Amino acid sequence: MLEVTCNDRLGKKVRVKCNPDDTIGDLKKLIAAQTGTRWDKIVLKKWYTVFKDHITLEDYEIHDGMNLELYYQ
Amino acid sequence: MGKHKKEHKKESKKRKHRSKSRSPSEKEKRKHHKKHHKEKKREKCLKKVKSDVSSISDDDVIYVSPTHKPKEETPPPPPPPPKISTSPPPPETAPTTQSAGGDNSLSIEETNILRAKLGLKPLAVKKEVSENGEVTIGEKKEFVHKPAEDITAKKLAEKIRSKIVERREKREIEKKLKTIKSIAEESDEEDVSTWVKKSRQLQEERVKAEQKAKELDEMDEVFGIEELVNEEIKLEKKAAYTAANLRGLKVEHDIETFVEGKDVVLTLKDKDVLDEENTDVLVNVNLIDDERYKKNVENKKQKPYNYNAVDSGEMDIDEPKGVLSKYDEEIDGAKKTSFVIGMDNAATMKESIKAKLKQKAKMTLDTLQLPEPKIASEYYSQDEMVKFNKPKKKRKMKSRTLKADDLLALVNGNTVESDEKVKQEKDDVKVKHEVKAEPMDVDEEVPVVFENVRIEEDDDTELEYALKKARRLKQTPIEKLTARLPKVEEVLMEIKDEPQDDGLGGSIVLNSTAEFCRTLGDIPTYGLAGNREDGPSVILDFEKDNIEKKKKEETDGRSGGWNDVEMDEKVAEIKQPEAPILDAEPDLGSGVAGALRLAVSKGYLEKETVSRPSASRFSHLAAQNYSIDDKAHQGDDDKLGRRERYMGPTSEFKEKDGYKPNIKLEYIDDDGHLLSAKEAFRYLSHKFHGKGPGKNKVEKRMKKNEQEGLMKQMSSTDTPLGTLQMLQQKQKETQSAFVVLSGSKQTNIPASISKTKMLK
Repeated sequence: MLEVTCNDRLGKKVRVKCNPDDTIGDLKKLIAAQTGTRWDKIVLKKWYTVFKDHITLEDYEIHDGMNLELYYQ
Repeated sequence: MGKHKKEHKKESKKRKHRSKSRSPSEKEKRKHHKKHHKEKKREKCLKKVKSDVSSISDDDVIYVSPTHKPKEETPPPPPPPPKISTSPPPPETAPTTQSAGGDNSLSIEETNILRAKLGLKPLAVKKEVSENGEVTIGEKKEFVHKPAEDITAKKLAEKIRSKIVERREKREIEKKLKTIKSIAEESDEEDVSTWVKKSRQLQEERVKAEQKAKELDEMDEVFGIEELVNEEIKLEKKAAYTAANLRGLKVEHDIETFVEGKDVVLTLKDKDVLDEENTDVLVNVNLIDDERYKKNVENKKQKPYNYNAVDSGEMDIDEPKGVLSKYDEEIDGAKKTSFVIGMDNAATMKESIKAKLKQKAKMTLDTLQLPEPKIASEYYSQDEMVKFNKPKKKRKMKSRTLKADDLLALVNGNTVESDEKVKQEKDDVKVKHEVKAEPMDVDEEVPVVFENVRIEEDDDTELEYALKKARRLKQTPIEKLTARLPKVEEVLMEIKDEPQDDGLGGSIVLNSTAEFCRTLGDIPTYGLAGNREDGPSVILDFEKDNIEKKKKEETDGRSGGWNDVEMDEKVAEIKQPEAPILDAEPDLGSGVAGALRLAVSKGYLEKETVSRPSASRFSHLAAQNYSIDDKAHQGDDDKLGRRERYMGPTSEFKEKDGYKPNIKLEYIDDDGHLLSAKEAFRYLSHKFHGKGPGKNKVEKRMKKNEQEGLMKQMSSTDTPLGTLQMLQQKQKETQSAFVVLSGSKQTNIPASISKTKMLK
């Protein structure tokens, strides 16, 4: 289990617990559940890499306690 | 998707409800809130999801019936609607569970539920065992810093604990002590009266016991038991160990250590169990210790290596020591004095006493008083003399042989010297006489002794010689005594006379040397030094005694006339060197060599003496005013006699009035130039300091010298070029009193002169 912090720097900051084998899509859904935004409108970024939905957290090497940038599209 | 939406809506409803339940205070303290929340959730979970979630946890795939959840979720929604109206607007608009800024996170259970709704597998949580032993699942524990173990606190706690333990023990001891009564308490209880009672009771008991004993005794008497008892006692006594049993026992101590009236406890000495042949030996432990102590002290007293220069075994005769006796003890074991009880020790005692007495007898008393001081005398006393002369006697004895004359002498000697008590051999007696004739005691001895000896004068030449020697040393008295004997000097003179008599007929020549020798005549060493040509030693004189006797007859008439005789001898001595001059003429007939020799001797031929430096060569060395005087021929001396001879010169010392010594010191340098005083000083100074003048100075001086030389060479009457001479010559030539100097220029003048010179 790992916990990721997602911040949109506009007032929303959520910490989400997830499994490393969850896909980014799953993470988005969880974030959506917590923030109330639609999950397909969410874009997760780390610097300039936009995480794609079908790839797992493991593969992106997202570890416990990492910060992800939260954008909306 | 529609289904999803539905779910979402439901969720949001539920969320609303939850947010409602939360109070603002709860929001502030998040931790507490969380915990509370967790508990609540747990309850919820247990209630609601027991059936499905628990089952789900086992499987990876979650089978959640979509219908099931809404069903369950449906009941809560009804309450919210009324609440919505009441609840504050912000939660409604913002579906987020958290206010802006603060991050929002769900618990594991919540997320699990959410995940289940989303169709995801639950979170994989590692089960953690907390310190307390209770299993905490999933949720991340808040890290609480555990304070380090406080050592001081620990120590304090331990201290307190130990104090408590101590207290407890103390209390227990006190409890125990409380049961025992203290002295004061006892005394309180026991009165004097009670004590008296007790003592009385004791007395009564004692009396009773006595009575009973008496009764029993009586009973015994009645039955005759006492006799039996007595017999038994007797037997016991017999069996007892008495003094009689001690008889024959050995005690390993000196008997003197046991003093009368003092008890000494003796014990059996330790011995080997198997050692049966040795009898029992009694010892006292204290005495053994004493002995050991004594021995130690003795060992300490001993010098290192146990060497004693005095004690070499010879000194103590009664107890002769063996070789290296100090090791006896180590080899044979320590010697121990012992005695046997009951045996009569009288014999041994006697012996010991005897030994003691012996030792006492041996001891001689030495006085510490020193002999009285005496004034040391230069001469030996009579007794000392005897001792002193003894060694000589032995020496003589060897050369002596017994003769009939000796015996005769002995008879005489005995009569004369009857006072001599010491018995001696016949030889010895004679030797004694001889010894007495020695210079030491000639004065003391009576002349009679000599008379004795002289009997054998003819035979015993040695004795004669000794006597004469003595007489010479002590001339005057003996001379008178033995007038018959000639004086040694006389003998000497007479012997020397002999050759003179032959050479010169009777003429007497007085000689200064002879005079001198005559004065020496008194000295006994005369003639011994070998300064005489014939070198007559004293012994020789003595041997020529017979000759002298013959001579004596001639000279007998005139005593002291010997002076003249001596003079003759001296003359002969002087004449002797002249003999080679009056050499016989070499024979002409013996060839050319003889002729040459004659020529040389006559002075016709000069003989070259190479080795001898001629007088002329060294004449400059000879002192100018010194003349060798022949002292022998000084007429003055002869006339003046020997007294005036040593008076000094007769002529007065004359002062030389007009004498002025001409002293001239001249210094010459290396080149042979005479130096002035200044130069000489400089030269000497340079030599003395070892430092010459500088190069420039030397050159300067050289130059100066050169110029000086030139100046000396230069004629004083002419110029250096000789113009005057040239002028004169010109005048002679021209026969005029003048010379015409042609040419106006100055330079021409010398030219013209030179011209004339050339012409000439």
